[in-house]
Amino acid sequence: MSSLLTPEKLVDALSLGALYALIAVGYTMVYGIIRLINFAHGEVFMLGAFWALLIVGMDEPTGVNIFVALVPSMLMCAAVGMNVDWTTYLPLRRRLPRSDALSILSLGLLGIGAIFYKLTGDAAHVWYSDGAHTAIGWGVIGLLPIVIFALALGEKLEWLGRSLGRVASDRLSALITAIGMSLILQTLAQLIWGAEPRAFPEASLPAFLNESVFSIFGARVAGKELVIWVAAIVIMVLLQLLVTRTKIGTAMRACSMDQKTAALMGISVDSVIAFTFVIGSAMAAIAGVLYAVKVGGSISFRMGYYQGLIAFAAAVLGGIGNIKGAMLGGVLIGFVQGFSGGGNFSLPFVVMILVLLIMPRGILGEPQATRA
Amino acid sequence: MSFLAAQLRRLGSLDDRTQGLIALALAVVLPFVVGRTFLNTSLYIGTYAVLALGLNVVVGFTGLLDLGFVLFLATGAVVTSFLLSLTRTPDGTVQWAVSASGGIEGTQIFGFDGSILLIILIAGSVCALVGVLRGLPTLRVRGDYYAIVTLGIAEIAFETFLWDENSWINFTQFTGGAFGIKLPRADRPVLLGDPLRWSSPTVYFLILAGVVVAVLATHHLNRSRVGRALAAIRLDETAARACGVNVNRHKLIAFAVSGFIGGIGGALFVVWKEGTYSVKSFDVWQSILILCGVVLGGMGSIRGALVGITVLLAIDQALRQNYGGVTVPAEALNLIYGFLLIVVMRFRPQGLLPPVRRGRPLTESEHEALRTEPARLFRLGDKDVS
Repeated sequence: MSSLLTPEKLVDALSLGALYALIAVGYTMVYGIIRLINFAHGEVFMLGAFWALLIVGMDEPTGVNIFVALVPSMLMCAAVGMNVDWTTYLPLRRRLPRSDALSILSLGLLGIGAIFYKLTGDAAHVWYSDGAHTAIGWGVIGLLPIVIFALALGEKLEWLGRSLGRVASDRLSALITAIGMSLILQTLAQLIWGAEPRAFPEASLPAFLNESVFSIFGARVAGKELVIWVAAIVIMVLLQLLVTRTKIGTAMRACSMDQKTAALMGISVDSVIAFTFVIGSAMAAIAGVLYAVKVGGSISFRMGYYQGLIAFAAAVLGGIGNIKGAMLGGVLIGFVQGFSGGGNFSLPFVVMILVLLIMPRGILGEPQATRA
Repeated sequence: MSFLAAQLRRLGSLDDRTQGLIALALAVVLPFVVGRTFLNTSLYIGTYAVLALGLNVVVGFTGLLDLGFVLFLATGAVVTSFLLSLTRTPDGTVQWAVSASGGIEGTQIFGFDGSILLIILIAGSVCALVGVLRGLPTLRVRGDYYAIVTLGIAEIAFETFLWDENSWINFTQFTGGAFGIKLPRADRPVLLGDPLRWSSPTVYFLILAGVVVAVLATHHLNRSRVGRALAAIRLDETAARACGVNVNRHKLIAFAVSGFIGGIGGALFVVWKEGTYSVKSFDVWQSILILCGVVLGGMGSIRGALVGITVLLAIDQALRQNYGGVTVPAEALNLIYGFLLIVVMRFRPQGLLPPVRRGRPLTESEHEALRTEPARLFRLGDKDVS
């Protein structure tokens, strides 16, 4: 079949694989440390693209280059990732009355705020006519009294929790919490940016992205493909160095082996976990922006679910919990997607299930506990 | 207030059979005292209660997180509407059209009175088979991988249902594709001489019968030898295997039962929707909605699954109402579900009505014996370990 293997498809497959690998690493790092499928990770990837869109401006372009917008987008996503950990998973790991109060209140206010936003007018109109910075500023100022209020309420909420007959949470609870968080982030994005796909303005996309840079086997390689390849390789190398050569990387590996012992060795386990969320989310932000570049600047709130789930299949395929496995799985799934024409959503899952039939732990996976 | 609490406590101390009969009596009286809108809501709740009870077998009894239960809802519904639309044309051939406006000329094969009961059985059996087939490859994967594989299979099926004539098999002739299924008025099932419309009381009692069958089936499954084996698998699969439980066989039984009940739910879904629905609505969020109901009620508890799905869908329906010109946007409902999941998992991970620990209560003399001389398995230091 000559049409199955064309150089153009190879180029496409390589950049898709690089993007999936970037997202999959975020899934796998969190799983490696706290044995939790962070369903919200796909939404962080989606938010990465939308934060960048917020900065380059949608209807009134601010003239900011998309790659400049990448940096604040990474910071925002890192903050979201840390927030996801603090509001949803930390209270399940440790029973801190204050984190309870904070998580419940911040989640509730997010929801009420979004509904109020929708009721008072078109959210996108408010964002872009008054200037995003004003809204963000008001948001920060508005959050301060809420935090103080929540801290004061902490003890009461702990009492409430006890009187409701709380028992120790297990991993299934964390997984369902993750699904809930994913639902919340996805719906928030839909409420704020609308259900229709949003496009990046022309001005934010540098011209070289769509120009042919060089050709391999007769297929022209556009600038965007080259950017994706280089970025993915550089980030993967940096991540590998971070995990193997630095102190925090050693702490991460120690936590993934045995959290109790790591804590006894003086490692602040909660900080290491939060750091893992931060790194994974920042990488998801990069993937989100690069994905927007790849598809020509059009993004939708659904991409966190679709692309996130495919990237997750990649992480499982490579053996979840293993960073090299996630890279390998990402590239494999990218090839499956690229060579099948791209639009097929079920093929990655077919491949994943077939691989799991032969290797139940994925290609490079570790043994899985019997108890869920 | 304290009187009400005391009465509730008294109700809670009754045995399962009495509680079930009280609930059934209330459910039988319900359609005669409430209005039409409320009746439609109760059909919605009843259909999803059957689905929640089916999911509970795998998630609650066996302890495997199933994120693709919508597969059974979809399969059951598609099988049901296909069978209902089967028609023998005057020239002797058998044809079907699930989204034809006028229907096909000829006699409906499943047009006889009461055929819907047979169709429900067929839909359930097909889904039981689907459950076993889906279960076979998942026997090897454990823990979180099981959740992902079920999610993946449901997504594959979701895409496959939309295959049109350009693919290997044209599935849209069974599923209506993107346009959805709309059974002709003539193809509506008839039960006891009553064409099934959601406003007819027969539909209400048919769905109620489905709920009762699902409750009895899962209750007896849970109390049986198989149920104990499933509990052993839930608590520790390796230990269960070591105790001589045939893990694979019992898991497949659980998948079959779960699929069967899910298929009944799918068939009832068609009856409730009067044959008009779209397979596009059978996405992963349907699975999550049913899962939310089970988790909210308490995994592994039958009354929990019933109460959980009722509370969830009642909230859903209440939020969809128009309150003096103010409505909650439909998208914001997901926000509330997500919030509910997180809060329930944080403060009450065992659900509203968690399963009661089973086993025969000790008699007075046995209590006395335990108090005077605690059973000792072995001693560690100065502590009894039993």
